[in-house]
Amino acid sequence: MGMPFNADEVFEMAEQIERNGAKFYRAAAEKFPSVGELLLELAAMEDNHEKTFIAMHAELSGTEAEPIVFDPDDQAKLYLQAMADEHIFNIKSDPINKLANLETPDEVLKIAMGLERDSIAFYTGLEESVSRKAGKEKIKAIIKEEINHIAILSQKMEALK
Amino acid sequence: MSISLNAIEVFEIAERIERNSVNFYSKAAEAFSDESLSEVLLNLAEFEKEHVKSYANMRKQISDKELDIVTFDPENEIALYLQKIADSQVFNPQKDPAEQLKDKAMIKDILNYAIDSEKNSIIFYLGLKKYISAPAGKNKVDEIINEEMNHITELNLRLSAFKYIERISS
Repeated sequence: MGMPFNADEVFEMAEQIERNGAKFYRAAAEKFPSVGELLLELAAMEDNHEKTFIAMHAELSGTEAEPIVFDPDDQAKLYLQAMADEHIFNIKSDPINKLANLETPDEVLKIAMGLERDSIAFYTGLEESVSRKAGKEKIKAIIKEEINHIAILSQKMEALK
Repeated sequence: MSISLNAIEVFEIAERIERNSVNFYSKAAEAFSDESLSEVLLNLAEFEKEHVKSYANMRKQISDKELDIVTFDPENEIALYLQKIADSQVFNPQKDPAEQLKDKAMIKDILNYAIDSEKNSIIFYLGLKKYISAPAGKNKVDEIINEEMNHITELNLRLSAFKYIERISS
């Protein structure tokens, strides 16, 4: 994603991250049926996160009186820009490509944990930049769920050993 | 790690994560002939040294009952999450990250590894923050998380510059 970066682009990126996550989980569930049920559950949760971001985006853009982001020294923006850099977090690439070289459920769970981690790192910057309390709370709730996904994935990895 | 972590152990892991980073950045700085890049890495090492002190201080405050922690965790949810993160294959604080330098001769590999480590630190500290009930303690952890985010910004700037130079010289 090119510079500069505005609030609309940040939310679009969050929405795309969730779409990519859901797409990855669905394709992975098909390829690895032994962990399919879990992956489909995670895909459904990512669908809900996408809806939350779309709703927040619409809600926050609707009011002009208050800026949707507060970032006087541009630090959050620079961080989100760095995270959005294609070298770090390439949301334009098809998430299904990540499955091409994976051969075991264990490998797919490990990649999934990495994706969840990247989402959390991005949303932590997003939470920092959103000025309204209500918006922060929603992002916090999503971060909490993504954190929980890491715990679930990790538990499953252990169970597969 | 097979048993649930307690708050003291969680802070010990945080200190270890930061010590590992100090070690990694210091050794990576020595490995480069580019002085400005070495300076950036040494500066990051200094930040991480301060984080070691902050976590050690918070751990001591918990032991001395000067810092309130969350004692109600009926499902063991926080402990379980942190234990899973600490145990996970994507993030193993037991490993010395400086060992990675042996296999990563390229500047971009080292910068990518450093960015990855910073992301791992952030997700661990988000979990660690849940253990603290005192606002002052939470704010301190937030401050550290913000600094780790700034490190990612800085490292990515260097990575972009490196890739730009690589592209125009090829």
